[in-house]
Amino acid sequence: MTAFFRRALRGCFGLALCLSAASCGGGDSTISSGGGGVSAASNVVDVAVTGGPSGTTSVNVLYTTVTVCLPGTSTCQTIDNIQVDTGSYGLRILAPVLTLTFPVVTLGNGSALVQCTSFVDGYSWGPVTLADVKVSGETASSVPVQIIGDSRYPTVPADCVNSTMPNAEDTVASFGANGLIGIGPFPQDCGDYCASTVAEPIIYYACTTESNCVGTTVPVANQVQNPVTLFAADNNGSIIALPSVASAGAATVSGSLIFGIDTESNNASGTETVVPVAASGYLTTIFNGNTLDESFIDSGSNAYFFSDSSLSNSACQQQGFTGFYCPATTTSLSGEMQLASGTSTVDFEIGNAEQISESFAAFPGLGGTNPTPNSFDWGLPFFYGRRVAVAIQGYTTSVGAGPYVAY
Amino acid sequence: MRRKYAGLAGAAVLAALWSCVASATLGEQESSIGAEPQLANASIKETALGSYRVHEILQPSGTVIREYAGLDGKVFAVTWHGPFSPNLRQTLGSYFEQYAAAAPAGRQDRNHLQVRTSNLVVQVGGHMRAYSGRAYLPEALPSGVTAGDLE
Repeated sequence: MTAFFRRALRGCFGLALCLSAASCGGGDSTISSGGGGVSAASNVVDVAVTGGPSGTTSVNVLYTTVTVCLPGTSTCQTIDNIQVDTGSYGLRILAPVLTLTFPVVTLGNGSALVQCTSFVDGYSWGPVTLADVKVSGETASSVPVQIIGDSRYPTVPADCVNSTMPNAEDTVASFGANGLIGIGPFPQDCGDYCASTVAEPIIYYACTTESNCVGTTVPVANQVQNPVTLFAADNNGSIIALPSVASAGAATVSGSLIFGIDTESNNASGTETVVPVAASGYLTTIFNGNTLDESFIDSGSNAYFFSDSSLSNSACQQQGFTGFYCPATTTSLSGEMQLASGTSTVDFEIGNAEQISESFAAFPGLGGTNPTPNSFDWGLPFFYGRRVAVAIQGYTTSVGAGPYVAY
Repeated sequence: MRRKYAGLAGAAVLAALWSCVASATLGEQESSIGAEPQLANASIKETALGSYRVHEILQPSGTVIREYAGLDGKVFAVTWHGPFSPNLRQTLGSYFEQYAAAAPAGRQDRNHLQVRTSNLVVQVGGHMRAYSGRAYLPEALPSGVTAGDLE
């Protein structure tokens, strides 16, 4: 999911930092090449790399707009600044941005379903609710959606707090977005395991009161769902199309999120490179001769995260940039994607994170160290200048069966 | 050697405070893993490697946790790979507060996190349904053992 470089910038520049790219000018560098070259259609929604919600300052974070409706009604709310994340599954919305009250999923015994979503740097607690989800012309009915920071369930269980870094990510500021739409290559955020076993640390809770919650199993259909799979059509995956971005970066970048693969004239597979994703959720990258079998391609990560001894002397020094690379000159590198047969080379560049223009929300050369030795995380910079398709497990396209990522 | 641990109800009350998984605890004696009731559904494989021993715990979720213990029986490292990270308060034990206090102030990131102090290193990464990580005590590594050995 996400890397919050924005916080680093905020920590560095404080209030002097422009809060939005628009207010800082830079219009000449705004990239909007026809939404990544995709024409408007009922299965296409605009996406953009911007500074994010007011009060946040993101770098390389992709946002879109989602409409949520009370189930079976025309009572709806449209929410912008929803982060597009191919590294997670399901729609999650921060409660403070909602004006509607969505019904909480109830389990067989009448208790309410509430979720602890753990990230490596914190947790998000809140009920699983039902909403009709509309994105572009696509609609999914009665989708289990997590509402984070919902005042109906104010007490976070100790097991949730203790499961990871004890930081609550339950505000727009701490989350960096009004919500998150997880459209990665699996249909649910847990799957069969949570249907048969109470996960440890606990993911799903049954709450009989606002604070009396115990771990529970959850039928797969009640788990938070990748909304794409619940669309009536165009439900086997999605494609993110973004224009290329100059090395210096750009104030904003506009592109398209296309639903379905090989279901419409605008989402046909061609001669793209298909990278298989294992049941574990990982793909394999070969970098510097090392086979990294815990790698992934993730629009929700804001940089290339990898370890490289050639950059060991290029660590950023300024406070707030810890863990990012700051080479004196932009450095060209390449890695290999392991395919079903053979490999495919991916060239990329790493620039100086401390020299990103304060008015830019997009920087294609952002790189950082990866604390896990067997992993290469191809974050949003990988998506610039590409059409990246994510096919979901259990679905097929003309070039293979999901889960896969193709570009 | 592979064996199954039966549930041990005696420690259930303490363990329930953390709602534990089958897991190892940094800095404690390796024997502590045998006292954890949640191991009921986990399998353990033990491997002796000269200066240290590795207990490999396969959790029902599919997450593999490896506990590295010196010949004195003290756990100096824990690693994990799988769909879910273990409960970190339990895994880090008495080091959890130090870990929480040492969170990097600059780079906050939902996918990668590293805490590095003179006596504690925690490195976690991954994304939803796919995580890996390791925690170790650099001052307690047996002679000749490096972080690269902690897989």
